[in-house]
Amino acid sequence: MLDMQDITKVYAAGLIETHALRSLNLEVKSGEFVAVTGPSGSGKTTFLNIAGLLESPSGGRYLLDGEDVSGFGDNARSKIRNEKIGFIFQAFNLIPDLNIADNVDVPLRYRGFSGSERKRRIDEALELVGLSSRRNHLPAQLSGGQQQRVAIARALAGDPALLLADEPTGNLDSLMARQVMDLLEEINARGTTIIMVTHDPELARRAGRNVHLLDGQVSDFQPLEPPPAEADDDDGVRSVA
Amino acid sequence: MEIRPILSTLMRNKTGAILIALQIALTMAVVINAAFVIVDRRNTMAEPTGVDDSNLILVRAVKSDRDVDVRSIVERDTAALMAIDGVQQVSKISSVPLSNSGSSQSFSTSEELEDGSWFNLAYYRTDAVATETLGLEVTRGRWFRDDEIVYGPADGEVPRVTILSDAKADEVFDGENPVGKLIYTSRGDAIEIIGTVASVGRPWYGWGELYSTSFTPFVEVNFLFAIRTAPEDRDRLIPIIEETLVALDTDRLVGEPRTHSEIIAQTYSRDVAMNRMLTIVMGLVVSITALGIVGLASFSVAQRRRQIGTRRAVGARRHHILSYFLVENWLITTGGIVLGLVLSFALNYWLVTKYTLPKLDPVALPLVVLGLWAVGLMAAAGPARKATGIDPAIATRTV
Amino acid sequence: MTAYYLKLAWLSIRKNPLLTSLMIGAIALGIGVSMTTLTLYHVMSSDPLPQKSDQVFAVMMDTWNPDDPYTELNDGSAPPPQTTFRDSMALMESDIPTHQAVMLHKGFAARLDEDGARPERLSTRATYGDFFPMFEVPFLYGSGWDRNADDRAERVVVLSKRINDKFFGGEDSVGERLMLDGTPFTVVGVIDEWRPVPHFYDLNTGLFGDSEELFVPFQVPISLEYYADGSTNCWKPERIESYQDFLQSECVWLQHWAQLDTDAQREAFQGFIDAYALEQRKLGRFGRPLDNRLNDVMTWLEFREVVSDDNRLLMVLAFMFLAICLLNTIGLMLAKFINRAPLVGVRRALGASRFEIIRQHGVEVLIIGILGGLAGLVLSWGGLIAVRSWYRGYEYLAHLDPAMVAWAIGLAVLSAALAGLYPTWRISRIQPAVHLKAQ
Repeated sequence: MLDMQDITKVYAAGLIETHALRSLNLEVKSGEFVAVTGPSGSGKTTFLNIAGLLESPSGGRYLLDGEDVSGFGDNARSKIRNEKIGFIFQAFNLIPDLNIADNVDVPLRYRGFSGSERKRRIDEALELVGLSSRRNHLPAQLSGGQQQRVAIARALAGDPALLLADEPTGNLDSLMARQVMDLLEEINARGTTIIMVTHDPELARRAGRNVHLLDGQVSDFQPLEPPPAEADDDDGVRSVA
Repeated sequence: MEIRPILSTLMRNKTGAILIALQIALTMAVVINAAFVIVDRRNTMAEPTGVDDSNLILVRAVKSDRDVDVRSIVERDTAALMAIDGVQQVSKISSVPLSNSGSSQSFSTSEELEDGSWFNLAYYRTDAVATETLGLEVTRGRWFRDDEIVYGPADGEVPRVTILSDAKADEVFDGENPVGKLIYTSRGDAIEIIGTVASVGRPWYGWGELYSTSFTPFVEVNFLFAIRTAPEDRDRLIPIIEETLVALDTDRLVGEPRTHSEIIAQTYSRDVAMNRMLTIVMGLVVSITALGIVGLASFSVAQRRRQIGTRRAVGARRHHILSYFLVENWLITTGGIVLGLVLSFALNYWLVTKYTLPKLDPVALPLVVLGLWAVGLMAAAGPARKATGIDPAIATRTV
Repeated sequence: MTAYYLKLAWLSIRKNPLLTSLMIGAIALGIGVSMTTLTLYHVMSSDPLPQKSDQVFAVMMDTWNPDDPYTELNDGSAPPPQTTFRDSMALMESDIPTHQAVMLHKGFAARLDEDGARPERLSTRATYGDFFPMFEVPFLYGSGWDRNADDRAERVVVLSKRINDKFFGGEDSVGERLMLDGTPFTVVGVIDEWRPVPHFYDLNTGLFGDSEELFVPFQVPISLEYYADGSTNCWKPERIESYQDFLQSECVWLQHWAQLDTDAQREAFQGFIDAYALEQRKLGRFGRPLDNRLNDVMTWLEFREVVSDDNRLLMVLAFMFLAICLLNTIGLMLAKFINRAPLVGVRRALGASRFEIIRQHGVEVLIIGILGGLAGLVLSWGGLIAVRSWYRGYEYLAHLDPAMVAWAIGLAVLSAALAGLYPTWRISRIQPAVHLKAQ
């Protein structure tokens, strides 16, 4: 599904160069649920931006669904983001002036689907996250957890092959966080590949595989034991980015 | 307040600042040049005609028949008009200042036409009581006597005396008393100057020298009637005058009586309109620019809420925040003014070379600069005061 | 997709009504002011004889003072714009021009009958019969007169529509009698509404005034020994004691026009005039360097500076004002768009290409432009009403015609597009990743 080979990312600010990623190698198989962890500054966000084609790598090869996308231009990357990738953000990033259904509609519009096709997909996605009854509400009228579920519906409506989640529960309290994680597991169970970036080890334990980033590279060192079957994730999910 | 950190912040957010500075520069160029034209026109319109404009009613009664006794008709008409209660004096006159119709003629100071210096005189032909009618002041010599008036069309008979405006007489005779001196027409006729009057303006607007005028004792049947009234009687008398003239001879074309002030207003109507338009454009330019400053300053405050909150949290007082934004705005305005100075002079130079416009007088510049500073500060004051109200707690809030 | 963007634009406008009205207002004011001055300019510089203005020529002959050029205008070395009687009469002998007419303006006292009501002073043009076909004057009834009538100074008259309505109730009055200055004249024609703007063939009677009420043969006022109601300029010290002296003098007081359809005709007539001038030199006239001109209508209007410096200055200032309004709009639009960068970042992450972002914002920009243009049209309409009330004699012009309306909308949309160009470009270039982290 996703194959990164020797990916590097260098930010140049004047004369100073910052190496955000140094020779990162990572392969994610179709259907996997991978948690990417690591301390602040380890390159998690850069990794996610490159995986989501929001930024281009400075070097290396990036194969998505078997296709080398590392050299793609802006238009081609927009198209891939639209068709193959779903994003879930820590801050939800719903569009405040649009109601729930219209928010889910946004990527479908860019996809060029017909009106009936868009309606079908919106209904299906909202059904999945359990918010069909709120379709005409504005984001501000929903709780944080509900907003994140709308964001998930929006990410899923286009049937992406890959779901990228950036601290999806970072702004939520524990109950809501659990509901969102349950939903992500359910989606993964239905076959969608998920890569979740978090700095919270508790959360990472619920993923199928953990990848730890340190200083811009995948670290061999796994800081945590594999989680027990019943993880206690009541603590530590609230954090400030 | 230190300017350097404000400057360096400005340099990192150039676009907004540049847009405001450009607006101010253009505004300055427009305001300065428009103001100059306005002042120039005002000065022209304020030039005195030397005639008691507001108490003078003018009307023409035209007779197409030429074989008439001019003197008897004029005397009959004048007597009839003088009989109207409220009429103070009546004269016949060929034209009046700023009516845009009149005559002029060249004269020489020497009998040997080739030797003398030639000058052009506009001439008003009128009668012996015109000083009273027009409110003229005889400064040297005397006005025409009754027996000097020539009633036309007189076969070959030409008036032999004239009266000059002070300004022109002094120019031609170098300040010497011109009374008794002779001037010569191009035909070689000698005309004696018998007096001077406080300067009277030319009949045309924008053509000929302003006070290069003279009076000639000559009356024609189709000349204007100039009728002097008291201010309170003026408007009441206009229809009565018209009726009186019609009743005297139904064969005549009697025009609509108008006051001299009205005629002058019509002559200047284009300038009045031009000044109005320029004033409106000036007002709009300043308001639009002020609104633009308000808009962009508000935006800049909104964008820096967090930064302002942080400053407040670490101890900045309200007046620090206020002065920060005011100084920032003052810097932008001043940048615009510097650019505007260059632009104003460039525009003026172009206008002076391309069109006949007054050259920029730098005396008024400080006024415009002060004005723009004031406008800039006033426009920025609102958003800046809003910035002082930002809660320091915003710094610790996450979303 | 455009419908979708219209909806988004509407949401955006509704969200910031103050900022949006400020932008629309700025564009509207800019358009209003510049369209008002542009319309004035357009009218003053318009072609009064569009079908044939390049075939109709004002005749000028430099009969002026050998020691001192005619200097009423900026161009000091130009010949006087009017002609002397004797020279015009000599040129009328030429049959080179297709049409040729000398003319003057004079007021006549008109009434229906000798014992009728008070006579009315009517603005009258005395000219040759060629005037009507040369200037394509439309006739309601009858026609002009022929060269015989010109030569014999026949007492015939052509009426304007207004005068025919007034004296003859709008009926066909050809053959009726009208008293002018106490003499009977026979009506031979009535013209339809005709008001060339500017009043090009005689600029002494006001640039934009009404055209004349009556037309009579040129030789009529001459035979009555009338002077013109217009400008008469003389330079030469000469004894003028009779009307005949005046007609033979160097005073210029007539307007002279000729229609020359081809270049060959024009060259031939120019040659005719120059040869005449050289002939006259032998009599001691035409003492200045040979400078006889045939100016077609538009060259003539330019020469006479019909578009005043005031109009040009107003245009320059108005367009500077528009530029200020645009800078203003750019600033506000940039602020509005940049404020929205996080949302654009989300759209980009969800797959919107740069082009889609440009389209979205372009639609918003155009809506603001169209609204600004419409509001600007209303303002220019009001501005022109004000201008008409401030200037005398502008009542018949300074109206918005369809072409000017199209201009206004076009200018507004162009202005908005210009103003929106940079903000739209900027917002399409944002780095989505930067704006997706916690807001």
